[in-house]
Amino acid sequence: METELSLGSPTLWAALGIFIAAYVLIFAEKLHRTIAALAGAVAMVIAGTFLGFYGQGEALAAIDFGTLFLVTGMMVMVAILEGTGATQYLAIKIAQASRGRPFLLLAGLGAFTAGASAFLDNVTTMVLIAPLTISLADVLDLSPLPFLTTEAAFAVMGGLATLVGDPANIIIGSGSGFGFVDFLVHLGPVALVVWVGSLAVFLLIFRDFVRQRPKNVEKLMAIDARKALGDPAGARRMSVVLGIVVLLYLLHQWLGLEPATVAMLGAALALVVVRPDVRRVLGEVEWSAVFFYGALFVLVGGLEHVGILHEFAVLFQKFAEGNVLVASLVLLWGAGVVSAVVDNVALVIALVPVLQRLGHLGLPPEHLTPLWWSLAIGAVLGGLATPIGSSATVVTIALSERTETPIDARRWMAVGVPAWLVGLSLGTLFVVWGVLTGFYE
Amino acid sequence: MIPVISSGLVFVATYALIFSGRVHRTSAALAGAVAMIAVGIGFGFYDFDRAMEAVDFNTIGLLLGMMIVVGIIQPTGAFQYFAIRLSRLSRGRPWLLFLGLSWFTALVSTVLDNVTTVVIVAPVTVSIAEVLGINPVPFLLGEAVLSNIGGVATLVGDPPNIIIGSAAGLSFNDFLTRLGPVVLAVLAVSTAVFPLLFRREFRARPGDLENLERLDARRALVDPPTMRKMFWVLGFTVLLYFVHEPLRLPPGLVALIGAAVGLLWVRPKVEEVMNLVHWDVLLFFIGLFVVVGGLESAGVLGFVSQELGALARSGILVAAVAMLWLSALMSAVVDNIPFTIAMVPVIRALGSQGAVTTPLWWALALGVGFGGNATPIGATANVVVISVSERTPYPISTRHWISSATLITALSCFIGTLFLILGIETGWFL
Repeated sequence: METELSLGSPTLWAALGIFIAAYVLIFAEKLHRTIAALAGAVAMVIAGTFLGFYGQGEALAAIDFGTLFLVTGMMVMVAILEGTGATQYLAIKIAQASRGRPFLLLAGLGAFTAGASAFLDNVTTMVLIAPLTISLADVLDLSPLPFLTTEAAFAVMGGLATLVGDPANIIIGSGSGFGFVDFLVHLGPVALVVWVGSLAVFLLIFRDFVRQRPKNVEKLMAIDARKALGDPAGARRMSVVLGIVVLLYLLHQWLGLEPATVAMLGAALALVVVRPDVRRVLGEVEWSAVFFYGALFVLVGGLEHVGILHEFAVLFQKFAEGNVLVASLVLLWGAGVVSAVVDNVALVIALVPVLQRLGHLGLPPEHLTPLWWSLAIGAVLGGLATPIGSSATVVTIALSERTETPIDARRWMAVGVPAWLVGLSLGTLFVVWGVLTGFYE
Repeated sequence: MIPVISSGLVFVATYALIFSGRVHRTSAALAGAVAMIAVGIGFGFYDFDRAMEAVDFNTIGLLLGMMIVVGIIQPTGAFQYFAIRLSRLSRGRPWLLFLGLSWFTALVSTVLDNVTTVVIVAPVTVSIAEVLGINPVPFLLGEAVLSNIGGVATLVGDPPNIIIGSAAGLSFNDFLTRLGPVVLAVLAVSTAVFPLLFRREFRARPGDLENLERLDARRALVDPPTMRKMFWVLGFTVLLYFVHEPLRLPPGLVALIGAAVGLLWVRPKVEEVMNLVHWDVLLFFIGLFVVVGGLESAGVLGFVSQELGALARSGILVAAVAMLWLSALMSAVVDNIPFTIAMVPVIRALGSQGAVTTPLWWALALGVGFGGNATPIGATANVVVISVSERTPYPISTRHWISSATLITALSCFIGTLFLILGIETGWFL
């Protein structure tokens, strides 16, 4: 399957050249990332066919369909949920429970965003919550800025807790074979601590803001939350479906069901039970993202077939065998820094085969496991640092442009960088603790 | 036995749900796929990985690539441009339009994939119908049916033919000389029958012929530079189809090369192009492949083909005719590719026992080729035109389909049987 690696071989340079060119194009963002990735993938397969190192069959085998169908299934469910208005209903209820006090509202909406994005797509969560937040802040005559930045940060951090919370976790789960419960047990506590720590930091940053007395509380209380519920019957059915899906996720390892099967099961069930307009629902799935992931798998698969990733794994193995703790922390902070400026999915898809290879090379599981969790923590939380680090932030910034205080880079970094530092530091503590006590083995 | 029964039940339930029309066919196919995997895991005959192997991603890639190319062309107004031109040429006479469009589709389908052809022709047809203010349903139906028939004529016209050709060692010329005449006869009969079935639609005179004269075709063309670029891309892709075999590039990859070149050159808004792709069609086929794959894994297809094999021992004429009708019946409900693949070892086994198998290969090619027309989901092209029609005010219903295409399927199978008997008696098909 793999050719012997030699520096003079044209295969090596062709594969490496196409890979680097495609990644530069993706990160440069001059071209839509999907176009860049697709062009790179097609070039890789053509070069592979003519030079004999890769073909359509191998390219298809390199695509992790588990990831693609998990993402698709979750997006279909989210699109159906979106149509029912259930998310907005809950957000209004939370705002009313806070009685408009900024302190409680910030904490409440932040926690809600984190919880929602642990199960739903981060971008969709923000698309649903941000416009509502802006109008709620408008009613209370408060600046929406602190709410929006907090929510965006929580949308990113929320994804860390579960297998399905962030595309990076989905890919890591599929590549490592860890299930939903594994993620919940090993990353759930990290996520919880990071949420609490960041919330404390946010309240400190916005200390003057949260001390304000809200105006027009009676107007807030007068909002009829049920009006947001466009389709109450659909919302009820959808909550039953989501309940079944969560239950199946908790049991999937025991039942022998792949996470992707559970997600597609939920999607199919929701489509049959809620019976939405299929074309609208499918139109809301972010196909360009699904497509982008698929093309990245093909690109990285080509690199794997010429043996470069293998060499890379051999190098890393010596390092990881020497000191697993140092290797884990290098991975955590490395991924954290790189994901701050580039798409974490592109990074994770390239690193997963390297970690898998480490396992094949005979790195014992107790050394390999902490590496997977470190990668997840770094890749998910890394996106907090810059305004372009995660798609949830990008969307929130775009949505904030119609308010009086649009989020710019400086306003974002004032919140994002502290959250990034707190998140990665607490993550580091957890990894150190996990490795020393054997919890991460 | 439990795998066979349980997978059979899931299969039947899925198809009942699809045909009942109570839920969207994509929802039904996905539900069936998930149920098949769940049952397969429960009884140990199927799982997610095997389901993924059952999906023919070459077909999916082909559909996706061509839909992206069409999605880039669509906003340029090129389809409307050609629609206006063609409408003028036909002077608004529906039957002339029908003849031109459907025979064009059939002809192109003999060398190009049916799906590619239909994906391109269907939007033009919808635009023509809009220009003339007529109902596009008969045209779309005719195009799907005739493209399926046209594909039977050549070695490269249809995926089952490629499979049969390589399994039986039959050449391009063998196909053209044996099946070409059959296809020509069936095409002639079908074009005669269609106007009879849609008398009302064909008699309708477009109200606004003067309006048509006043329409400026060039006005409809919003973005000529992009259109020109995309025609180069389309030409290049079609060229690649012709040489894809010596280049060892599978058709799915060729279509995606076209899509990549188009996206890179035109740089459209990716989200808009993605929205024009018929994702419901792609997911429907993925679901269906998974369902049929479960049936195959459970051993049901093997069971059917063994029964057929037993029948074949009772004489070549009976066997060939039975093969044609059974293949037609089977490919009306399951995709004809997995069925053809399942039949290949059966016919081969008969051959190794000393039977003359050439007529059986022809019968198989005719049966799976014509049978796809019998139901709305029998062939890929059918699902594509139905999905296209659902974006117009005239969605094609199952009733529409059964009242026209199913009749034509029966007719084509009769004609096929006649030719088969004649061919065997004269020795032409041996």
